Amino acid sequence: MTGRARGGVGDAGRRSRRPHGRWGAAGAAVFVAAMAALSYLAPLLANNKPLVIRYQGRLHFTAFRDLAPFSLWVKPDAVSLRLQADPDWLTGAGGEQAGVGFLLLPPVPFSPYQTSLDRVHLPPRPFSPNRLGCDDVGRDVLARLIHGTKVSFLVGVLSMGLALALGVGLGALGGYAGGWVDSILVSRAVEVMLCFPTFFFILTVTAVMDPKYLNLWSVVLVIGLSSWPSVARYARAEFIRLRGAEFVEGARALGAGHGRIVFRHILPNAAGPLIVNAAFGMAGAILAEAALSFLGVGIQPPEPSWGGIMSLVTRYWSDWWLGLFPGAAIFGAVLAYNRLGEALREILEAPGGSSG
Amino acid sequence: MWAYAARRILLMVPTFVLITAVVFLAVKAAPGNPFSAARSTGEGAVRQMNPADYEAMLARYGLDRPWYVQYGKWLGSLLSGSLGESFSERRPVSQVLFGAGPSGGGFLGSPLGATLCLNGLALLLMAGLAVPIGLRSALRPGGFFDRFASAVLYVLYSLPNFWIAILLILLFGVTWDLLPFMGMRSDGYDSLGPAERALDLFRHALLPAICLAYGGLAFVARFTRGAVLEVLSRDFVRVARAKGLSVRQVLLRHAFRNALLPMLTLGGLLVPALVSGSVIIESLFAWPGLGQLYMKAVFTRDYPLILAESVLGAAVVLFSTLAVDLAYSAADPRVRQEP
Repeated sequence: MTGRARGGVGDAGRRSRRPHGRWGAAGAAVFVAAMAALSYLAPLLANNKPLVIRYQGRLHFTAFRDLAPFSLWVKPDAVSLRLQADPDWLTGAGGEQAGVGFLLLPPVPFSPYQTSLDRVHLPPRPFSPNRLGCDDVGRDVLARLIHGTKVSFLVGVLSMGLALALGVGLGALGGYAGGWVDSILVSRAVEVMLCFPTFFFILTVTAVMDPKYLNLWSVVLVIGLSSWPSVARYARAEFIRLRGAEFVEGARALGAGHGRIVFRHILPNAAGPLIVNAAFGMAGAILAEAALSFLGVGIQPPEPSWGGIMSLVTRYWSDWWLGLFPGAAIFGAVLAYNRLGEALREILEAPGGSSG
Repeated sequence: MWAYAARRILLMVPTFVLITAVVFLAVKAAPGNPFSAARSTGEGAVRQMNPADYEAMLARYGLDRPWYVQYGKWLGSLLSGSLGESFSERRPVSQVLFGAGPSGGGFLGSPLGATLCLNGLALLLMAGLAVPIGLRSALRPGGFFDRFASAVLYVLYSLPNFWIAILLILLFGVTWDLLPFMGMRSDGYDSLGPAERALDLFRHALLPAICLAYGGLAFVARFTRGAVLEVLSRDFVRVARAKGLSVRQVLLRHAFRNALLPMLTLGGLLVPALVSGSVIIESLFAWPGLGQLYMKAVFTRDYPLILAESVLGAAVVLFSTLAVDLAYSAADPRVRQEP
């Protein structure tokens, strides 16, 4: 399934014109930027902690304590202690709100972990507090979607970063060194690894893992370690193509060492196709993580992830919103990264027509 | 031809051994073993396995031996054809995969048969839709149909198939109650006549097959379009047109036939996606095939079954690549010149 995401549709018909215009590409870039922003700002957008509150005569900026650098050392304040005991304290209708003066809640006033018996299987209503409904234990779907963005975004970036590092390293080694290093080590390794349908291989490894080890980092590691072969194939081809180029010979004639030639001369020229490949790879990685979490062998609940939210619909078929919204998010992300890859291909590879 | 085939098959042997090694080591390297989960994640003392039992279970399945001994034994079981003994079913894995299920039903009753049946229908749907779309697009590249089809197919290509599966189930299964979406046969299947049986199977297979097929549509259609366009620029096409044949005749008789050759490689490219897709789609639709069996093996932590299916998945890709290459070289002898 993820095998499809790699390489893009355009591979088949190489002389494809730009099919979807400039706006598609801009929309894709905006979507990806929004994902990045959401994954960082999620605690300010969906949280049961208030952005600003005047409580017992003092101002508190409670939600900001969940934001990345502060969350590392800042201790819970009086407001978050109170919320730990009673998560619905500030949103609950007619609740005891003594001591609360000024109050500004995040746009989605629910934390992704906050359960409630009152909201179990609550269907979505646009003008209710739970706009996209609630899941089987009363957690707000929109809050979980917003916080789940982080998983998808980080999996895409980090696992492709890992795959790029490994793939470019090995591909460069094989393509530049050639000879037995290439034929026995690199090419053979790539050939063997490409026999595994990527998603199937990822699934095998996560499936046998003890669930207690399954988290964002192990999923990133597994996807990254399984996705390098196609990167290596591209990198190897680029390095073979550029190894004999005139500017490389020139550099060599000037006395440049192998390291300098590889990193300063060949790699920058090979970067275009690799970046394009990485964009498609990120779409594949996001899809793979979503599928893993959907099958129950990825991010483990209660951690929010798009695929994990979606898996609940297979238990409660009447809760259609659990399937519709997270799927739309996954689709949007995959479409955006694929489109971004196409746009990058047009930008980076068009002028020289070097590789196609 | 035969020498080429023999060389290719011999070259596959080391690749296959490496595949088994990669699968085995990846599974071994992942933290945990079949019984550690029962020991660690159990709630309270009830589900905790006691240490003596844990050791006994490891010894019972040979998991206390060094990894190379385990690998050797497993390789032996692959060679003998039994593929090891399934932990959960307590019979050889080969029987679990290829033998008929508890309900019988001949070849179609086996997980392999069920998977082939579903994927066959998916491929038919894919080719039946994508090839005409590709041909029509190639008729006037850049025209309205071409742009429209490519935009639609592009969106389809990015749609996650498990999402579409859920939406189809919600619409056709739950809301409208038009098609069955669980399993492969209706309850009274055995009492049905042959035609009704086929129809019943088809109705059960339709939704999962659509989910497996639509993603490849874009790929096949664009490939068809590219291959046909390539042929259309050749001289013999111009001659055919100059003879006075219509565009349609040239497209179908001359261009498409010659475009079939590069399209052979499509078979090899589609197989990995189908293998991966089968796992999710089959378990969603409770289709009793290899994919659903695989997810069952995952949740019962049936290592021999997981290992066997992973090797099988890679072997299918390996063999489909080989089959495509051999077919290609049979059709176009120049290919054999390459080492």
